[in-house]
Amino acid sequence: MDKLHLDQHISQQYNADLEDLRTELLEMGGMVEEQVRDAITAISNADGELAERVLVVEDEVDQREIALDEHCTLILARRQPAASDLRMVMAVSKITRDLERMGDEAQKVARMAIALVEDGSGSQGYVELRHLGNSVQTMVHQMLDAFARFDVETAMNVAKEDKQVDREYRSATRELMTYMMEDPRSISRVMNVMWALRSLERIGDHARNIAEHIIYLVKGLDVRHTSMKEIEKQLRERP
Amino acid sequence: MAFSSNVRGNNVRGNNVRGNNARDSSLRSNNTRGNNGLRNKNVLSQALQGGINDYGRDQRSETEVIREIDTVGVPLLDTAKMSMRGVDVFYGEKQAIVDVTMDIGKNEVIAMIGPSGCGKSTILRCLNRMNDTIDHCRVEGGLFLEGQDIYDPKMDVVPLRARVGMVFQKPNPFPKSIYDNVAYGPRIHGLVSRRIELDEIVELSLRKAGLWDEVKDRLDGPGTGLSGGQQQRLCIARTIAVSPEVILMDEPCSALDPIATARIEELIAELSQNFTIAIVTHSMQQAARVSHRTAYFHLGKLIEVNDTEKVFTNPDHQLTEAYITGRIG
Repeated sequence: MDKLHLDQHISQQYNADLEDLRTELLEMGGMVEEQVRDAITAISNADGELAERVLVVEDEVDQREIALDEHCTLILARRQPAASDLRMVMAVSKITRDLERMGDEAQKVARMAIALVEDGSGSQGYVELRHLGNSVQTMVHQMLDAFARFDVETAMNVAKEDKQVDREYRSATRELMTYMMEDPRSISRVMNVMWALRSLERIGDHARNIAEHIIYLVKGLDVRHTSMKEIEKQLRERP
Repeated sequence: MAFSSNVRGNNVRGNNVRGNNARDSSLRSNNTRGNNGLRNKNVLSQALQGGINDYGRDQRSETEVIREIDTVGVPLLDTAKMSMRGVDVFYGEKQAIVDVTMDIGKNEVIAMIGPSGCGKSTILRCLNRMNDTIDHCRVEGGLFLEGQDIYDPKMDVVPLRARVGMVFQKPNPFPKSIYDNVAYGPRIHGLVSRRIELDEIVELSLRKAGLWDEVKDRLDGPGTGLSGGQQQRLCIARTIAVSPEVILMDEPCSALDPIATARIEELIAELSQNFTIAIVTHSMQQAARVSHRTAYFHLGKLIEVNDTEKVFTNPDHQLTEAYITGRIG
């Protein structure tokens, strides 16, 4: 595990500022994780009430995003951070944005859940939703752990997991298409499921983005738009 | 309810964080208990992985450990204007510089940073033999200006100092007129024969130093009558009047206000098109702003020299990182 020594500045206040930043981000991450989990539970159990609550939490997440961004701006203005401190502030600012987008996608899933509940019975697509939902939840959870521990290995796992999620998404889409062909009356319902799947897949993408920001934060390597093979090679070269 | 379980979820992770903190804060309490040296020691023992990882336990001093570090980064260049090879500097018994090897590239701005007493000013002063004036100072190793050994006994220091000029921390204009301050160098080095040529050099130098418009109507006024920032630019004009190849700047902005500092920094950027500049600065932001490469010194040792961009975003050495992020000082 790489240590960033966030608590060893000569200025104690600076230590506290950076530590706060990290804690605040983890709190926001916890909220989004919960939101994602609730949205998935709501849609796979057709629980309209739970879905409504996901929509409520969204406002709080938005507020957190604004607060965190302000905090980052203040640190930049006051401390002119350099090296790992600078990467910390930049990474937090970017991660915040991805977290907020994840929240938005969770909100979309919750809306689809409400639409499905109102639509009435029928369970085509629930298996696919549950399946993809589980993978995405694991990714989100691991991603937050990777940040909490500044752990590049876990971050790499998240990035790899995203490939799997993409594959599952494609096969689920094919499956749902056959439902629509078999029974055109189900089209509007299945379309809703598809939108929800799409949002879950997007959540996976954001988790991967965050994993990349974590690698940047810890190792100073910008691994966006880079293949897994190449990332692994670069990580090996930079101990 | 979703929200309350949410909070619970956070707490679990919060504990995690706190767990880390507990470990880290034990480090911190060590730090506060000890003196500053111990604090550095902690950062150091983490910084020096591998063979000397047991630094905390062994009996060697910080200096001894630092001296075993190899310079990281890119110290050598193809386009070297000045070169240092295995330079050691002693003040009496005390060794101020330990085995420094690096190049200063043509037309580059190189910033030298490091905590007080790290030897950055000493190395700068070696580059035009300003250390000759200190009796008990001894310089060993090779220092070259375009391949020419500047410590060669046959080397005449007067033309050397014309080729390698210096600007000091406190502006030190001569108690003469603005014109004479700038004209002094060209006169004593015999660079001009006619008044009109001298006028030209004075105007050109003052223009290059960004001071011409402010002083052109009072060239006969005393140099000491200018503001601090203007005086510093006058000193820069005086330095460039003898057409040096290298300009050494020893904390040129530390006595100036932010506006005057910004002017000097602007000037450094312009001058770098024609001159090679080595600048010692305490302001890391300044180093980040003005220089192409940055060299980090610690206890007389050159720890790292790299592109400035790299040093300030992702330095190669832990000690550099610790210094620029305000963990050691």
